[in-house]
Amino acid sequence: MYWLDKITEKFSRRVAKSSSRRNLLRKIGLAMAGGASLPLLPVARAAGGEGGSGYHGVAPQTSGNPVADPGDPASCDYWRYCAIDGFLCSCCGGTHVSCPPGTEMSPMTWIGTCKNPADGLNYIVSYNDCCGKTSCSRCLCNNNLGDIPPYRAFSNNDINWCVGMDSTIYHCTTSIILGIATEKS
Amino acid sequence: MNRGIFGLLLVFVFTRSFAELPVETILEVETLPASYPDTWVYAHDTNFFALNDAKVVVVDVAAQNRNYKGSIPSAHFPSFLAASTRPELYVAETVHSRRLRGERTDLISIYDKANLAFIGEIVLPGNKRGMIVTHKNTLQFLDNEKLLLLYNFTPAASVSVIDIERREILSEVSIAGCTMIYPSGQRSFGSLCGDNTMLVSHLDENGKVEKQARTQAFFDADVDPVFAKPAVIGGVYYFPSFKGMAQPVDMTGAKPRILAAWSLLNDADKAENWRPGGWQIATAHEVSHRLFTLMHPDGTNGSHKGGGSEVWVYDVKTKKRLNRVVLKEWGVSIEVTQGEQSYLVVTNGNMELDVYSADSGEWLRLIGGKAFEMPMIIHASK
Repeated sequence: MYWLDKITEKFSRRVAKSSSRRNLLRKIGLAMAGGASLPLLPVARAAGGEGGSGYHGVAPQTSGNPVADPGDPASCDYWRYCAIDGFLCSCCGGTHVSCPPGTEMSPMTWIGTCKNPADGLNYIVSYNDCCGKTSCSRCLCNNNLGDIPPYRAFSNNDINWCVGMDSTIYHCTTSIILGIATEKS
Repeated sequence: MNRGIFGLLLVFVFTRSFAELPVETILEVETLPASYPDTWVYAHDTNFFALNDAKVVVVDVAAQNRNYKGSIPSAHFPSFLAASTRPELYVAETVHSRRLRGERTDLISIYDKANLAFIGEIVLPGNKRGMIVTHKNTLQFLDNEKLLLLYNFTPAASVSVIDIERREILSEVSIAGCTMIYPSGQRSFGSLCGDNTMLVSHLDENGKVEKQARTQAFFDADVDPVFAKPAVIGGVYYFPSFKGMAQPVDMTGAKPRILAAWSLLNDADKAENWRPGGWQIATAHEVSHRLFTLMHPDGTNGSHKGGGSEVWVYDVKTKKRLNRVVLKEWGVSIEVTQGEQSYLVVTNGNMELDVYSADSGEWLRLIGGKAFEMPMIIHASK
């Protein structure tokens, strides 16, 4: 999401001002901010360093099965995040399939269909929210592949799915495989 | 000159030029007019980074300075609506008794326009209030602002009907499989549905549902979904679609009339794959029947919330594009003030407001300084 990239870039730039090691990044960031309408994802990626997650100060992770489930769960580009909207639980004390300590996972959720680059199969992914603590605020990520407005509620990622929990306060979002989609996207 | 005399002269000149400041009073608090000028907007700051501490900021977009007029709080995925027939502002919100835990309370909090002070509340039973990233059509008036309608989602979808003059809940209307509130005739409203139709709910004089009816299917959510965030001109709702169609629905009568859809794009635009995108992607200047849409090139599946580099302006009577406003900064949401001298207000990618002339598209000013974390929706004062 271009504007989210831009926020990420802005934060990167703010940190970069206090770090001479990131002077080059700062120059790139300022140059791109001048060309206002450019997507800033490359800058956000650069903030994480080579092979990094795209979030400044967030080191890469693996899924635990890098061959069959490739990519970095602390990166907005991880294949399962194709329709996610929220803070990545992987960056918040949880993982891509589990909630951080002290939160509760909402059983109700919205569903995306994402292609795993390792096997070329489309998987149904459930984006369960973790609830009960204030916004994690780390690794904000919004991808909208197949997202439909809330008249198709279970295909919409704008709804707070903590709505049925004891505490409705949203914290972060997981991405859990429910199965293989029968139709190719 | 004698040094002593020179010194005395200096003291004389100094005291004459810089008279002592008068004593000032403490405990002064500003107030606002009970009715706001048409250059004022409400910037609804969703504050994604601390969602339970959102706010609505009153901003004068025509003013170069002192344009931040004041604010009211709004907790956790709130909805906001300003009355035009009485000096009241409404926030639908959810709080917990121990801040982030404890008993949940859904309520309508009521603020007075002149003091931005809390003046009352309506507690909503059943823990049903829909929580969604801020949409205008989750809280709407009906029947000349006598009724206030609130969207619920549990995930069963319904609408609470509230007599806002008496501050009493009248009824709950099921809109199963549908979403949002699009006010139509005197006491009816539409909701968009997952089967590509619009459900219309008619209320009786007691605010109870009298009858419900569905239109025929008029869009295809599997091929080209319509955004649930329309612009309204003269009672006609213009729903842009992901791929750049404008779908008008005339809601002025007892029954909606689905009008012919028309394309926002010409052949050159289609070749560059321009599409609407962002959060509040459409708005209108009603008296001049102009529709404004936030647009981006190179559209793809999933780019519909990505914002845009231009705002395109149409005359809905001729269906012709009047202007392309190239934005100074990437845009996320747009709004237009409704006065004769109208302003195009754009939430930019830095989460600040850029103000343009709605007529010429000329950039006029930036309203920033960390006034907002995420002003996702801008409401023009009416």
